Amino acid sequence: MGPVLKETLASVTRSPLLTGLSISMISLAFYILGLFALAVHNFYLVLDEMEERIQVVAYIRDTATPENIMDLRAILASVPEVEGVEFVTKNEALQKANRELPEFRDIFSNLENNPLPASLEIQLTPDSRTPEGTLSVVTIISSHPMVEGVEYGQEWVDTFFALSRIAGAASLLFGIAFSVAASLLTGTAVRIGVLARKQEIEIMQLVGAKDRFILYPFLAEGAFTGLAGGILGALLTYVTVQLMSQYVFTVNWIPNSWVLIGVASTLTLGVITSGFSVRRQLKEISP
Amino acid sequence: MAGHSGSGKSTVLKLAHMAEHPTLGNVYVNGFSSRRTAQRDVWRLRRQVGFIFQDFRLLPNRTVLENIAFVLEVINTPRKEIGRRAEMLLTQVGIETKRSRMIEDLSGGEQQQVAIGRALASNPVLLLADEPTGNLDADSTKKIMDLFWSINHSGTTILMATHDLNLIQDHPEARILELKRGELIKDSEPKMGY
Repeated sequence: MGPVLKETLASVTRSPLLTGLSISMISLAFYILGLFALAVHNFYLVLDEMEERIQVVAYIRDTATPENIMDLRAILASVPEVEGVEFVTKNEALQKANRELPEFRDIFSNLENNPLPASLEIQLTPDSRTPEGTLSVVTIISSHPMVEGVEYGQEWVDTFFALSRIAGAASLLFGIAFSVAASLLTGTAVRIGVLARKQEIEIMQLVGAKDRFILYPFLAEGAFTGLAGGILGALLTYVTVQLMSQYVFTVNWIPNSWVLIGVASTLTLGVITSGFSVRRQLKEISP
Repeated sequence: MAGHSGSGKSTVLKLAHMAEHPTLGNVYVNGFSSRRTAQRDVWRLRRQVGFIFQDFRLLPNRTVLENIAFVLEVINTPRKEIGRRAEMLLTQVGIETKRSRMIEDLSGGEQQQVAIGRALASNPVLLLADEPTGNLDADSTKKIMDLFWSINHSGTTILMATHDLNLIQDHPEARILELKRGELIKDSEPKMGY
């Protein structure tokens, strides 16, 4: 492996401009992909936050006894879509209204009777925070005689999931398009490097170099170029996140696994493209 | 090997270097048969058969010494020997004083000297030369031809394609093959024994 690394290093130092250009092209391609990944990741974080707010509130009749509440809780505990249930008493509901609606505080304080019903706030499991999951819980709970009404913001849930689906499809399509563009740019950058050394390959073939002697340094060079481009692209993305968080608004960094996949992809693409380009040259060139 | 353009001289050289394969028949070169030699084994033949081009085909961004050393490295010459062997080859082709010059700073004749040195790196038994003096002036041509004769006299066969038979007029020991439209039309045996 020694001579291969030496030859790779020699080639990089012999044509620093070309190597630099290839690395810059790859890093720019993956910087753009990184920015897209940042947008998608942060958008999904917001969606997740909104999704966590999806809950079903069952309002309890004033006539309900503690046993009725226990019964309702027992029913809900057996529903797989339910993650947790919180009982809010009439008093707690009034306190909450006072707290959250200060403009009506005078009205609330002058009431003779507390008009607000007790309720059960039902949190759904992450997988069940869908229109179907929500409706399933609503159907079960609303049939109970002690339940006065159920609120779950059907329109909001439907709109949220429609938006979520559109966002998912758009991210997938744009993600594929950006990945293909970045891959093509990486391939072109590496191929330019191989083409620039076409003469070298020709001479090596001419004087009787074994194919693998010609191929290995190019594979190592492709790996180096891809790796360096990928790391630089990730660094540029990171710097952008830091600058945006400092001067514009907080942006969350993408998961490290995404970065690893990205850098591993540039490295693999570098090796594969280099291999294909050299193989092609070996077939094309004849003295 | 003489003949007009298109007579097949270059094709014969390429066939001998196994850069092309015959559509019919078989080509034998120093024990290698074109039919039996797999593509992955062609490198073995090429270490025994050097090739020289009209346009030199050197690495322009390297020095004279680096061009020779590059080839020695490619053919697995032990690292310690590369410097010594490269110097020897440069001396043999008479370009040792320009070892540190970049290729593009050399004249055509000097570049061809380097190309010959490169072709000799693997001690070939046969040198194939395709119009090696085609781009050179009269003085450089004479120098290159003298170099060829000296290599030939030291035991290496040279098969040279040319359209200029005057190049060998003073050398009756040369065998002349004349081609026309792909056919061998004349094969004159050497006039003196060698």
